[in-house]
Amino acid sequence: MRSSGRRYFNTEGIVVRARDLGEADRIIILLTPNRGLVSAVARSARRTKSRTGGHVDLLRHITAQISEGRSDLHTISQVETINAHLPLRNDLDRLTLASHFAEITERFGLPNAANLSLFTLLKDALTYTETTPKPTLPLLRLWHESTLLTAVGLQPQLHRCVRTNVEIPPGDHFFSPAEGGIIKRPDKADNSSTPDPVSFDSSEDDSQAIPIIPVPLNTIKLLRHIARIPDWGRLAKLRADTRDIDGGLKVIGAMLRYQQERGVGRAERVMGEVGNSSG
Amino acid sequence: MVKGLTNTTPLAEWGQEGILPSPAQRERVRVRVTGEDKRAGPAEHHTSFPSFKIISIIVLNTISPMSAFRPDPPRPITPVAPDSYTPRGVAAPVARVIEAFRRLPGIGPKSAQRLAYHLVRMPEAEAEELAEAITGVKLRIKLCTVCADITEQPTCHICQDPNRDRSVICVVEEPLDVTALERTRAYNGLYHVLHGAISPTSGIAASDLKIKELLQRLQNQQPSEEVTEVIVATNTNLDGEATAMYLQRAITPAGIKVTRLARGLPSGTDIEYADDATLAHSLESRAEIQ
Repeated sequence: MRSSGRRYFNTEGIVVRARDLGEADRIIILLTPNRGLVSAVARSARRTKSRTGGHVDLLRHITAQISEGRSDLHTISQVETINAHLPLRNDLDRLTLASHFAEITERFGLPNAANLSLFTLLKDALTYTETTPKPTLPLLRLWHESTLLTAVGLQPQLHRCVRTNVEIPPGDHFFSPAEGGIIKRPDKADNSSTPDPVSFDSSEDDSQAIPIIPVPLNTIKLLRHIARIPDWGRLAKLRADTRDIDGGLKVIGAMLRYQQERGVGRAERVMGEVGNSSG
Repeated sequence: MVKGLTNTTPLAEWGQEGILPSPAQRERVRVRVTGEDKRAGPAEHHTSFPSFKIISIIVLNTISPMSAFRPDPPRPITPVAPDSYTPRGVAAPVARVIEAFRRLPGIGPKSAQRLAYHLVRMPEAEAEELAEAITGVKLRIKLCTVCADITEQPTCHICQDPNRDRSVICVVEEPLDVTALERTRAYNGLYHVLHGAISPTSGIAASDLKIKELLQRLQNQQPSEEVTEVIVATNTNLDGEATAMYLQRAITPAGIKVTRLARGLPSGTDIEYADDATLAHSLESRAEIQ
């Protein structure tokens, strides 16, 4: 019997992006533990009687047999759901937050580059988004974003000044997304109270400069605490002040935006409107 | 040294393809290198790495599956010079039609050629009728001022129909969904077309849709035509669910009942292939056998 010549591989993955293709197909991007981002076509997924359609919706944790294509676009051959994350689909705030996690994970993931930490982080973050009490969601977001930066090798420097390499003394300081860490506040004897901003390119004018962000002491403490205890189970019990969480989100958000080289994310924009509608 | 490529560049295989490390340059590239070592394999396995020198980089945007997620830039219709998809020797007017068809969703180069040559063989009157229909759809069509469905009049025929039940509004994502629901002949209420769905992953927010118009419509209703129920008939995917939840949150405070189309197993399906969400909804919405 002649072999069809097709190569298959089995993998689990989380659907981080999906878009319609043609009349009834759907292209999905899966974040997998061993192959990084994998793009695959789910044939006829949008038809009512499709066997794959229900399994390849966004945020689903699935296991799939994938037929390798000639390019990096493969085809889903068989698929089964491991976790549908049903509670997310009944709560708009949780759903938009989970979409935000998927979006930034996809932006920092790479095709054909395994990153088990990134996969585990997203898997855990989706589960925690389902179960964690609503007031804790902003802290969960801060935990996810800072842990993601660590998982992709971009952990911000929070203990030493990124310009002078001196240890950061207790107090309010500054954060530079471009330099990836805290800048020590100049001493009172120094004339300048704010450090110079950093430009994208030294040859460009100052209009391209990336502003540095003032960071209060408690926000620095919170960010260090999250970096030290990356376990959400323990962190969830932390009673952090809303202002410190917001400050941390501002710092980490600036770092994410700088690294992505783009502005507000898609889910972040929707999150803003959803937050206003509930208020 | 090429900017953005360093010794740690995760090139998949030398002489083949790799990815530039900077997020802004995340394009699939083909790299040619000089050197004696012709072994294929992951770059990090090459111990003699520093002796290699990059001599050319070709950006292969078009084959990257990631590029499928970027919006396509508008393709200009070339009146004379056909592009690489059009076979050589094709007359310029035919090439133009092929190129025009290729811009339609779901039409590939071969289908575009078949349709173009079908047009060539078509009687002149029929071709003129088709051309008139295409221009007419752009010139005469507008959105209904009440429900935002596509219509030729300021108000669509459904909103004008006095026999329709004005106490129920069915909210759908696209004008085609109205056609699908009308085909059932099971619904006699009014519609509201959102022209999309809230999509956190695509960045489509409520303000991009006709949701504000729906809320205004509910606010400004006549006492004699009071709306008592809004049926949310958005798709059952994540975006549809997000839209339904947003509408429920926005409309319920006005004291109007918000319902969702039932979700469950389609006729003729095998239960073993149904996903968890569908099965769970089917169980929730189970009905007594009469």
